[in-house]
Amino acid sequence: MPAPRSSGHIPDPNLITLYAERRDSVLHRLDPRAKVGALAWLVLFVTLAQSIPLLVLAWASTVVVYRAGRLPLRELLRWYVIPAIFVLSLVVFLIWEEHGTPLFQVGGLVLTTGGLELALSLLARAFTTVTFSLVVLMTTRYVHLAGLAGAILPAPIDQVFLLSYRFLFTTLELIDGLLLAIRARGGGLVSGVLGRTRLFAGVFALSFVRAYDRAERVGQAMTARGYSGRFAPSEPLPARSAAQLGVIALAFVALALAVVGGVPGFEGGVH
Amino acid sequence: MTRTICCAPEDPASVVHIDCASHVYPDGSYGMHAMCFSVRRGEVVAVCGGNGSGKSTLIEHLNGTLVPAEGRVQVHGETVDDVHRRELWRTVGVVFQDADSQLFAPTVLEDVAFGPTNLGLVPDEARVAAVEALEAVGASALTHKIPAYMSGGEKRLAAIAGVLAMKPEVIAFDEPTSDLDPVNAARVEALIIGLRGQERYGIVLTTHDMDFAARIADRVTVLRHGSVIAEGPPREMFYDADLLADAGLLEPRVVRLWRELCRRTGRDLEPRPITEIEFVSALAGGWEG
Repeated sequence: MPAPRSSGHIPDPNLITLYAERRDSVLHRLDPRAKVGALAWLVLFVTLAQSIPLLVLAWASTVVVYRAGRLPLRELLRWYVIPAIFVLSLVVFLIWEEHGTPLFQVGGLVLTTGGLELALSLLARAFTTVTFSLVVLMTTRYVHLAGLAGAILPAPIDQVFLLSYRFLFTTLELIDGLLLAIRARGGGLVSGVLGRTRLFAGVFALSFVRAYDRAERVGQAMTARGYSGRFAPSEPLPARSAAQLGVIALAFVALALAVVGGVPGFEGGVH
Repeated sequence: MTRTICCAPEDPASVVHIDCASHVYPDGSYGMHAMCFSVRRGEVVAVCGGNGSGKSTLIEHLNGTLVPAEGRVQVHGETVDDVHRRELWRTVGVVFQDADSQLFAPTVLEDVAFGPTNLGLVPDEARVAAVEALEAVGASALTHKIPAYMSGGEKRLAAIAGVLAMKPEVIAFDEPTSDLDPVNAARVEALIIGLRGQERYGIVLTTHDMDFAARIADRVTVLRHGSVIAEGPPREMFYDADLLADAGLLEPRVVRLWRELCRRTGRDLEPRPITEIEFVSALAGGWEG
């Protein structure tokens, strides 16, 4: 099957859905509980790990796992734009005056090796988490995510979670349509935001209002088919895999021991 | 000519009856005013009217999505109270005009199984009901597709299957052929005709496509400003030029052609045609004679 093209969203939720629902790989066949558990472990791991080589290794490993799921690498690189912008917008205020060897000076502010390491570690953490989150979302069917949400989260928080996830699709779809309409009349997102900020701010605010309106109609259509605040998945969760869950449990134990034991890479607290 | 039909005697065979109901929007305007409407099994009722005439509002009252500010809704002669209103979806299924608003699940199968699951079917039964409904609309090929990557026609078929899977007594279609190309519109039309042939469903459809209504309806209800201004057999309604003009509607193309033919030849024939097939039959069979 040829690789489907992304519509240009960052990220493209429909493409994520396509990979989750219609593709197959070793990762698709894993117990969804184990994948969510692995994500939780990984978030903990990148929070506790202090060594840059270790963080970069974690990131590289998640990319390998991502490819093992037969997921599109080019899209992943494009989807890194959002976390990169997010991290860099924070880092730009944090990297100055850190301990370490001075590298260069901007005005009165000094950038040190410590500042650079901080930037790298934050980027590696963000990319690791984003990559594995995508692995989970792109290899787990929605019906299984819904089943997990129902099992883990109390009502109505599980419903809020599930509906918010779908609301994201609606919002991005409307923003996509909006961008298309802007491009069709010779406009551009960046030039528009820079040149006519107030207009574009209003337009994007309106798109959220429209998304809300659209979500209302989706909700109305769901109610018309009997939805009463409880989404019952049309398929049960796959059988629990004791082996996979055992591996995840062991990984948590190993991480705890590494932190408590001060294993190199985990000592010195969190940055 | 202004005729407002209200509080017509309730048809004892009706599945759902709207009895002199009104709906007021938050701005104080009436979306529906003193509306009376019934539908029985085995019939197709076309609700015709211009934009803002109250067609969609009527559909939402049939399903219990909206509650009338005045008047009442009855199912099999029983007045629907606020508790039972929440169960109206079991009796009346609605196929919304915008299929994108209806299809919310990641795959067609899961979306179509959503209604049966809410009916209390266990997952396996719900999936069987969904597969059967998709077969019934000739859309088995869509079973595992993702709605976002489907055409408008495919989405409409999936939306219809989503309602059919619940096996309601009445199916209400809000503008079922709008935004569809002629081939897909014909497909949906054939599907509705097929459902009528089964005589197990009452079918309500809203439209301002008079040609479509003429081909498919057993009964036509004409709305204006949220009220029923006429109701009756299609032939009677569609040859009433004043009525249609009053409702902001055009006569079906066949009716216009027939009128022109009659004007030019100075002749007329009964029954007057309202569909293309009737028109051709009239020309081929009766006109020369």
